[in-house]
Amino acid sequence: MAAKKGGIRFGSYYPVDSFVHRLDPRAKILAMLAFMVGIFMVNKFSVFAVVYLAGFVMLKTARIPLSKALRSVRGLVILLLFTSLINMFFTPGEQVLWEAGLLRLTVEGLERSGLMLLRLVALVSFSGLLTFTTTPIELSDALESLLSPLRRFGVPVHEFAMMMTIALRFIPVLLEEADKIVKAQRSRGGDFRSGSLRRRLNSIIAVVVPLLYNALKRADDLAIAMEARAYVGGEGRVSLRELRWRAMDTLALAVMLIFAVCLCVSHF
Amino acid sequence: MTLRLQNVCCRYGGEGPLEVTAVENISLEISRGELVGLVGHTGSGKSTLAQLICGLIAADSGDIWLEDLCLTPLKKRQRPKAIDLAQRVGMVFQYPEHQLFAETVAQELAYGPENLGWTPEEISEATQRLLKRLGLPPELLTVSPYQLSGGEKRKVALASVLIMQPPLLVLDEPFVGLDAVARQEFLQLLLAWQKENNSTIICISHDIDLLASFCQRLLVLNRGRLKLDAPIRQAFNEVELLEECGVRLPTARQATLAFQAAGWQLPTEALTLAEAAEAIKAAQTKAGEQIGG
Amino acid sequence: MFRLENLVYEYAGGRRALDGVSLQVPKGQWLAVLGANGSGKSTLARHLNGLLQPTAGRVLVAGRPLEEYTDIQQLRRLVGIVFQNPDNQIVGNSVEEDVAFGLENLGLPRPEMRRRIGEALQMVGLAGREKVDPAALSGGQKQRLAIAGALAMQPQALLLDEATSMLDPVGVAEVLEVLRRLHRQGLTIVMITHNMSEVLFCDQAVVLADGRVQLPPQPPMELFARTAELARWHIELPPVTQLGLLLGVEGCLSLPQLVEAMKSKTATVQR
Repeated sequence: MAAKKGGIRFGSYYPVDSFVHRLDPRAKILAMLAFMVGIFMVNKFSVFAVVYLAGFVMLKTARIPLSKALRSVRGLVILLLFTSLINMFFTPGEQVLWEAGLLRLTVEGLERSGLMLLRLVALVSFSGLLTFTTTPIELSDALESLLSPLRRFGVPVHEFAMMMTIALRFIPVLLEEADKIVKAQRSRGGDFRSGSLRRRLNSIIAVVVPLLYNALKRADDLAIAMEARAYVGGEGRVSLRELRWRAMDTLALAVMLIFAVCLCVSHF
Repeated sequence: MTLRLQNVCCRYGGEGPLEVTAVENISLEISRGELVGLVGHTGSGKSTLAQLICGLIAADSGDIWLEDLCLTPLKKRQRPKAIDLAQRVGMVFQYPEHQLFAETVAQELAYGPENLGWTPEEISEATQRLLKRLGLPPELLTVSPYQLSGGEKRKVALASVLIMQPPLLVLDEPFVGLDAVARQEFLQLLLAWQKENNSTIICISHDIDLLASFCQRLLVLNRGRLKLDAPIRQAFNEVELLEECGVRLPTARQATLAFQAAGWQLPTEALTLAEAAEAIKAAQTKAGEQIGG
Repeated sequence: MFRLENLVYEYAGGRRALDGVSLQVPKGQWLAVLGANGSGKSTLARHLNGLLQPTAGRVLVAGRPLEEYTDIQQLRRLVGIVFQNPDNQIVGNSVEEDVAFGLENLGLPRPEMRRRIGEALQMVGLAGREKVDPAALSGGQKQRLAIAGALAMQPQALLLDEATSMLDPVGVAEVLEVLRRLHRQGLTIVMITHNMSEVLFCDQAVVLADGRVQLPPQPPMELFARTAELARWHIELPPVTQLGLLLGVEGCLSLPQLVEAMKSKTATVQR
């Protein structure tokens, strides 16, 4: 009745059903790591063609529109431009095409910047294979599972995972509260954008302080509520959510590992 | 202070948790000094309307005029600044915790006026006056707002808005969580201040009995539309409409209607329990005479 | 179910939130604890499930003193609690996850967890909403979710610490309806509130002020009739009862009751 729209509130999860979506998130994380390492090792244009082909095929399998994957590259345009220019003009090389003072455009330079560009674009756009197909909760569960051997060394893996899930749960709550606070202070004349620097700073404080204070109070209340429901830490705790590793996860990971190894080998 | 809305629509305000309930085609005019109640079921757009009036969110279409200030200019650049708004309208939110931030109560009260460019002398004078009127001891000025009791916090939050003497005051559920005594006290402070300044008050509340006790006019929203805009006594005559909109009748009205349904003859215009009691007693005498013979 | 003997609770500075409270709550009773803000009612509630330990006096839950509950999880399982702020007690990212929280802490097997979750959601009227994000729920729904979370632990008693004070009238009605259902099933309910209108469905109500019991537990009808005392302890009567008083009828709980009372009064006068 009075409900607002819920759903995944942040992160780039793209809610469709696909083979990739259904894979165990741990397999996806490991596979993505392997893929990234492989991409780093590629130093030939021809191999990049294979990488891109493989990437597109995977995106297609994951039913992710290409436009979405490419959109994530948009944010990096400046960085990409910068690195390619640096690489183009400052790489030492033999076959000089153009020269002006310190700037020297060589074939090697072009080659190097081209490879760098392809590498960065590949890394960013294909990382979507993980982030578009896995919810933040799944990622948190997967990390908790993968890192659990560290518990033996005293690393508070469970606690980190619990922090993650609670933080995710409270994001919309905090966003809404921040909005209310900003509005409350604005109605008292608080403005971030105009007025003297001192006034503007004061306006920022007027939002940050209540936000922090209330967040801490929430944490306090929540801790008591968790205690009241028998929370005593990670010992003896069984999670409702289960990650089930299946044959297709082994298969997918194996295929990716082989592919990554091939990419590494192609370097030499 | 005239508040004028003409065909105001606001459909989308944000994503997910920041989503704004839509309002459609709202037109109304409120004059200086009026006491207006704004009611409607949760999700009917009350908060949206309140925020539109205070200039905190922008309308998609239509005109909003706060006296001489236009809140809906054609060019985004010409949108009113926070200071222009703060001079004309003050908003009191549900929980003081969304507002209190300063190191001392004095600084808290000074925040608004400082933004408006008042001199320290003006601020100090206004602070003293307001403290007295709200019954807060002057020692409170050096205390941190976070150390105050719940009731004191609310008073300080209210004071920090009232100090700017806004001609229009909008309150969004100011009575939630207050016990009976605190509620009455808060209301009396509010009304006393209003009388002194002849300010306009728009109050959102789901406590219909409370609204019935002081509002002169009632606005009823349902699913983003303004379904009823009438002087308060008449407003409660629209029994079916109010039921449709999920708005309860004040107890006094329910009572007189109940007695009428039971066969007694009495006017059903009561707003407060006292009025209802009088009407019922009068009807009782009549009914008694009828039985007697 | 609960037994308090001269319960005293002192804050660090020496101030007493509870100053010798003695109270008994039989199994299956729905008790309302009334009092103005600062009367000590919340502090009292938190002793009932061991969130607070008394400075002096005894607290017995299900016949055993608090100290005997060495495994605190046992006590938590026995007595559930729902707090005032709907958001600050919801931990899960979905409805079913939140209900599961307590069960996960108890380390129950998954099929058992699922079964209990289903039952709890059914009981509060949220069945079918397992995957919903709590941020999309209304205030009343959130509190019902919190109740489900407590019910999944299969408690013998439920404490509600001003659980309705942040809700709109619709939300309050939803929560009260769930409580009535639970009450019929024999759950002991202790409800802290300052809203008298909620007290109508309770078996008994007690009034606290200044950390002490000022009016012993009694049925709401009787309590409502003690006008002078209630006024003294700043307990506001429901509007209908107030109207009744203006008309010379004491302890009136509903409009039909008032109409009847007035009618018979008139008839009596004429005779």
